[in-house]
Amino acid sequence: MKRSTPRLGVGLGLRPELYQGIMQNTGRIDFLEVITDQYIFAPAEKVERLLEIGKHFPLIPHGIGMSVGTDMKIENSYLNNTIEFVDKLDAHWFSDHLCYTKTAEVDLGQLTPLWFTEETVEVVCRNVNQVKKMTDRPFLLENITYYFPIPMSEMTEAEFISSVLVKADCGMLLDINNVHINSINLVYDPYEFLNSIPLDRVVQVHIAGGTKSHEIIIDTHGSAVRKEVWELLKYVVARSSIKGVLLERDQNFPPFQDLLDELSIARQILNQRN
Amino acid sequence: MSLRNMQNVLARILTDDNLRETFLRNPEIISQENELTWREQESLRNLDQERLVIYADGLKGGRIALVLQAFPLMKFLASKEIRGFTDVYCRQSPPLSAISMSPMYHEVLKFYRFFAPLAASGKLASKYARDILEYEYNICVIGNSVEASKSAIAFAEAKPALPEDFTWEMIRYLKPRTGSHSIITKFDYDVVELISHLVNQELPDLEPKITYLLFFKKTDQRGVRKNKITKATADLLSLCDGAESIEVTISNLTSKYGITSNLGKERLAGGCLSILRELYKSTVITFEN
Repeated sequence: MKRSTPRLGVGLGLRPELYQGIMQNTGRIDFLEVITDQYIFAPAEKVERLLEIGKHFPLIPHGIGMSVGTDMKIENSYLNNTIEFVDKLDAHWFSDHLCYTKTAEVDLGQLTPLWFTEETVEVVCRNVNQVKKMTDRPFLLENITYYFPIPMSEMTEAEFISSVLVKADCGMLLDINNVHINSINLVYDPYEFLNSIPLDRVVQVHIAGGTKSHEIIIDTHGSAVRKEVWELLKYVVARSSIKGVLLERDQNFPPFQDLLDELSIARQILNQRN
Repeated sequence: MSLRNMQNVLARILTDDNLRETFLRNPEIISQENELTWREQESLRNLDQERLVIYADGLKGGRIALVLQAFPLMKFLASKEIRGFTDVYCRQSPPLSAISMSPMYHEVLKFYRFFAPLAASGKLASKYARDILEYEYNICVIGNSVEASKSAIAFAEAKPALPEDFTWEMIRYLKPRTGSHSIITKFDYDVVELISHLVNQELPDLEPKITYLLFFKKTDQRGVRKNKITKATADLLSLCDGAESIEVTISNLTSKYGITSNLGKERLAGGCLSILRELYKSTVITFEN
């Protein structure tokens, strides 16, 4: 039986640098996103401290190391520990990225693009099914930024994402900043992209700011959300029933009020749908 | 199997400098050696080489940036110098997949294994490099290791077995043991004073001063405790390996210090009893039969 996904509102990525601001503004933040990989192999007391924070906010686990796109089974201890963690948090949903980060021998350490082929779709679906066998909590896949497409693909990125979501029957974490960045770096129309993916499967959205480097934009999560990203968020909200908008800020931290102001903007946009 | 080969090849191209150079000069060689389909070979041949190189360099830089999060004082002390070693570090410490360990912790272990010999042999510019690297590494290991956490819990659970003011008779035949939740380290400088400057972004000019620090985890407190200890305490702790009884341990210590008089032995034993009580109270040691 599929679990329902409640409407959470606007949230912030939990980072040590933001902890104090977060705890002083519990009434202005609806949920927190936590990085799964920081907890699943950590001492028990680290999770216990997180659960204390969880008394004030719903916590949504977001992983970076599941590597669903790798052509091999998801590593057992990683998957088992992730499910155990998600259950401990009683999370409404959890997520990871539509990419690969490792092979049997090499840990790339970064979200690396997949080759958009039928074979890759099958591999991802197989791995997502491995996850779904372990839990009935909704599992979402996030689109990534990538700086070099793999040539000779059989389909576009949008077609690939659509095919995976439908065949694996899973939800999406739509990173709108990533759509914006890819549209600039890879030269395509972000609105055409959004029109080509099943927005009805989008459960959560990420927004963030990037940084220019080597003539491309890098997804640093280190600056304010750009105007174009706000516009894309409005576009998505008008066409889907998303349950949460998450602001990512990982470095170059501004005064906390600036982040609260961005959350307010996100909340206004989200509420416009209603 | 072919997609797996493709992914393996691309992962190796991205993380192995030598392989990447070979690939950029002659993509055909790499493609043919790896049982790829024609389409896969064509795909690799047509990769945007400039962006591939930028991404690969970013992966290397990303590893250093990630691990320096666990070594903030080393970052302050030697960031530029450390980044200068990026290529060599990544070549000698390839990013192998880790099982049942966080990527950050895995990288911390590799970082320490690479830079500790350099720091110890004075090959890093700062005279404090060795001490700071050891200091931050100990905090990271004890603070993040599941084994250290379990050891601290086990020692805390064993504690009620003896009263905190135990006597010699109660422990003389028991074997003292430390656990993986504690580390004793000898530093060349007063590292406590040094840290107090570095956390304020100040670089002091200290004279060498041998200092011993005990790093340990307590279950009822957050973080890693760092206590200055005497050489005598460090010597005693180094003998607490669960192999010998207290009686034999103290006797070994007496021999080590060349103490022959009965009065001297009594004083040493008395001092050790006091130290052992403190260490037991702090759950740094436990006693076994």
